Amino acid sequence: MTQAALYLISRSARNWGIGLARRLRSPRYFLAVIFGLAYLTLALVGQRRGAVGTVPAELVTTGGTLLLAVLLAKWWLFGADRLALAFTPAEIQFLFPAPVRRSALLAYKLVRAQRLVILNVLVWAVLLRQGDRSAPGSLAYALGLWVFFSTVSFHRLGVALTRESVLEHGRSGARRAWPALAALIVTGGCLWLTLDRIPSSLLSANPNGPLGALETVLDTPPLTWLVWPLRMTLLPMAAETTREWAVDFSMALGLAALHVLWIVRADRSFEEAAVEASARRAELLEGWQKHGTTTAPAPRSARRRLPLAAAGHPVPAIVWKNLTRLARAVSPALVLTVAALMAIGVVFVVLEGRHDPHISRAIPALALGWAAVLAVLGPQWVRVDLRGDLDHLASLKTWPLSGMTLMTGQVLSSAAVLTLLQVGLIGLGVTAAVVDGSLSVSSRLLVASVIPGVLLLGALNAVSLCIQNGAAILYPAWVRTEIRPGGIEQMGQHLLTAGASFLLLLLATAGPAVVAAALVYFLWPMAGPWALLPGSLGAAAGLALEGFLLLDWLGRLFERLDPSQA
Amino acid sequence: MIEIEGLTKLYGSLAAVQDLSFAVAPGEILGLVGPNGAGKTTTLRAIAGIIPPTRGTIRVAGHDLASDPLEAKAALAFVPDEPQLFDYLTVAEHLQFVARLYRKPDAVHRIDPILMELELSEKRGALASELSRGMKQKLAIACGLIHDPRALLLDEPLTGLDPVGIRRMKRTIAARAQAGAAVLLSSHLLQLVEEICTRILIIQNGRRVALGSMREIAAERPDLSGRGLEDIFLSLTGHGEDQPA
Repeated sequence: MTQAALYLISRSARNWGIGLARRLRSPRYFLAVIFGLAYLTLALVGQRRGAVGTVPAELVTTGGTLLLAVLLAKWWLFGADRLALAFTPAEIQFLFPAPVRRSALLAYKLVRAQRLVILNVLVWAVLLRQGDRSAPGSLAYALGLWVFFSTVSFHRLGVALTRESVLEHGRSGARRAWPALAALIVTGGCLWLTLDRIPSSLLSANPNGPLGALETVLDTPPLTWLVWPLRMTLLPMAAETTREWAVDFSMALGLAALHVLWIVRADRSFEEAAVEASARRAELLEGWQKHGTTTAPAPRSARRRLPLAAAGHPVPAIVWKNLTRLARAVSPALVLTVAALMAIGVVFVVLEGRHDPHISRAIPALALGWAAVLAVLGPQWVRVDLRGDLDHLASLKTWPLSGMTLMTGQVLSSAAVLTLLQVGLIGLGVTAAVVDGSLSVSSRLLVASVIPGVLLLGALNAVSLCIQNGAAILYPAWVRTEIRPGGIEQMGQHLLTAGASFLLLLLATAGPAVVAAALVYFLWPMAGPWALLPGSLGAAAGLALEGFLLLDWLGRLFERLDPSQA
Repeated sequence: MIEIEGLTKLYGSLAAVQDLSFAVAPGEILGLVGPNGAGKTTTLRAIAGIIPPTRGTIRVAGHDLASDPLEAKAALAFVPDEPQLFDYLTVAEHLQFVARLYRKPDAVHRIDPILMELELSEKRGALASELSRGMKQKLAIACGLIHDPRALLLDEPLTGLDPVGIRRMKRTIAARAQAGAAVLLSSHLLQLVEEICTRILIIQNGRRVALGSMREIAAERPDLSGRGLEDIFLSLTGHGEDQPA
C-alpha cells in the first residue's frame, strides 16, 4: 500500500501542478495569481521593514486558545466537517475494495492532508510572520505553524471518526469511544468548577481589558489544566528563544503524535465492527453512485415548503429555489442551539445587570457588532447564490433567461437573507440601547430611519455579493462548492479571498460614502440628525447604481462562461 | 426546427467539432451516433446554449442562438446524459420551477399527466436526492417536457432505466415527435437509434461521416445495403474488421 499510496500522491501532485500551469494560460487566472503573489510579497516586505507589527505572544496563546476551544466545542457538540472522513469517489472505488488495511487508508489520508496543511503554513508564515524578529527564526515559526495545523487537522479527523463510531454503532461504539466520551465529561466538570471560581466583577473591571480578563479565566484551575493541550499546540509560535521553542515544539510534536495514535485506535475500533464497516463502505459507494459524491450534504426532508406562484417573473422563482435550499439545509438543531445560546446570553446579562448596570450595554454592542461583522464577512458565509449552483452551471446555461436576470436572482437570494439577519440584529441592538437609555434618539427619527436603513443595507449587501459571485464566475475552479473540501486547513486561502473581497468592497463603497458624507455635511446645519436620512438614501442610491452596473457586467460574463472550461 | 451550419468548437488546438451542418425538421427524430470522443455531447451542449461555438450558426425554431438566445432556448429542452437536479427540491417542485423559468403558467396543469406518463406520480413529494438513478433520469426528462418544447435534445436518454421504463420512454419520444417536436437523440444504443429515429447522423472526430435515413446511407454505400446500423456504423467509422463474420 505504501508504494501505491506514494505513487498516487506524487503523480496526483505532479498532475495537479500541470493542471494549474495550464489554467494559468487563461489571462484572468494568470492575473489573479500575479495579484496574489504581489499581495504576499508586499506583506512580506512590509513586515520585514516593520510596517506591520508582530502578533503579541499573549494574543497568540490566549486568543488562539479561545478560538481553538470554540472550534473544538463545535466539532465535538455538532460534529466535525464530514469531509474530514470523506475519501474521493475515485479513492473509494479503487482503495476500499483493494486488499488494504483500514489503518493504511487512514495513514494515506493523513499524508494526503499535508498538501493543504503545507500550503496554509506558507500563507500564514508570510501573513503572520513572527520569526524574523525572534530568536527561533522563520523556519522554526513555520514548523510551529505546521505542527499546529497538522494537530488541528488530525483532531478534526479523530472527532469525526469518534462521532461516526458512536452514531453508527450505538452502545458498542460508545464503549470503543470511551476515552473521548470521558474527556467530554471531564471537560463539562472542569467548566462547571471553573465558573464557580471566576470573580463576578472580572469582565467589567479587569485593568488589562478583555484579553487580560480572558487570560485570568483561562488561568483559573481547573480550566487551565483543561486548555493546556490547546496552548501546547500554540506555544511554538509564541516562543521567544530557541531553547524555549525547542521544548515547546517537542511537546507539540508529541501531542500531534498522540493524535495519530488516537486515529489509528479509532480505526481499530472500526475493524472490530467488521460487518458495520463493510456496510458503511457499501453505503459510501452507493452514495457515490447515486449522488455523484459521498460528501454533499443532502437535505433532511421536504417538509419545509415555501409557496411558488405559477406565474410571474423568473427572478422570484430563482430566489424561491435558493431559499428553499436554505430552509431545507438548515438543521433544527442549529436553529435551536443558536436560540438557546442567545437566551443564555440575555439571561446572563440581565442577572449580571443587577450588580453592574454597564454590562447591559453588552447587548446593543454585541448585536450591532455582529451586524457590522455580517456586513463584511456575511457575503462569504451566506452562499445561497451562484456559488451554491456551480455544480449546475450547465443546467443554468440552458434556461431561457438573460445572464443579468439569472445573476439578479442569485445575488438577491443571499442579499435577502443577509439583510434580514442584519435588520434583526440592528433592531435588537437599537431596542436594547433605547431601553437601556444609552441611545437618546426621538422615536420619530428611529421610525423614519427604518426604510433608508434597510435600503442601505440591502444595496451594500447586493454590491458585496456581486463581488463574491463575480469571483465565482471569473474563477469558478477556485471557488469552494458543496463537494469541494473546506476546513481549517484552507483558512489561508479563505483569508486571501476575504482580503481581496474586502479591498474591492472598500473601493465600491468609496463613491457612495462620499455622496452620503456630502449630503449629511450640507444638510446637518438645517436638519440635524435628520440629515442622516437623505445621506443614507444617497448612499443606497449610489450602491444600487453600482449593483445594477455590476449585475449587467456579471450577466454578460455569465453568458460568455464556458462551463467545460470552468 | 433545428438548423446547424458550419458548427465548429475548438478547445485550444483540439477540434471537438468541425464544420458540422445538419437540420432536424418538425416531427423528425434524428439519431446522433459516433465513437467515444466524436463530439456528440459537445454538439448537443452547443445547441443547448451551454457552450459557445467557436464558429457556425445554430438556429432553433427560427431563432439564432447567438443573437436571440432567449427565444431559442425557450423553444428548446435539453436532457443531459447525467441528470443535473437540485437535491433540495422535490419532484413536483422541479416541474413548477421549470414552468416558471420558461414562463408557462399553464404548464402546472401538465405536471400530473407528465408524472403519470413517466411513472413518477408516487414520487411527487420526494426530494431529488432520494431518487434512484433511473428515477432521476425520468425527472430530468419530465423537466424537459413540461414546457412543451418544439425542439428536444436527448443525450443518452435511456441510461439507468429499467426495461419497462425504456419501452415507455421510447413511446414518449415518438409521441413528442408525432406532436411536431424536432428531436435530436444521441445514444450508443444503436438498436434504439435504428428503431425510433427517422434519420441518422454519424460523426467521427467532430466531422460528419454520414447523414440520412438508413436507406439513403445504404444508397451511398451499396456494399452496406441490407445491413443493420451496427454494421454500417462500424464500416463508416473505420472498424469494419470488427464486424462479425
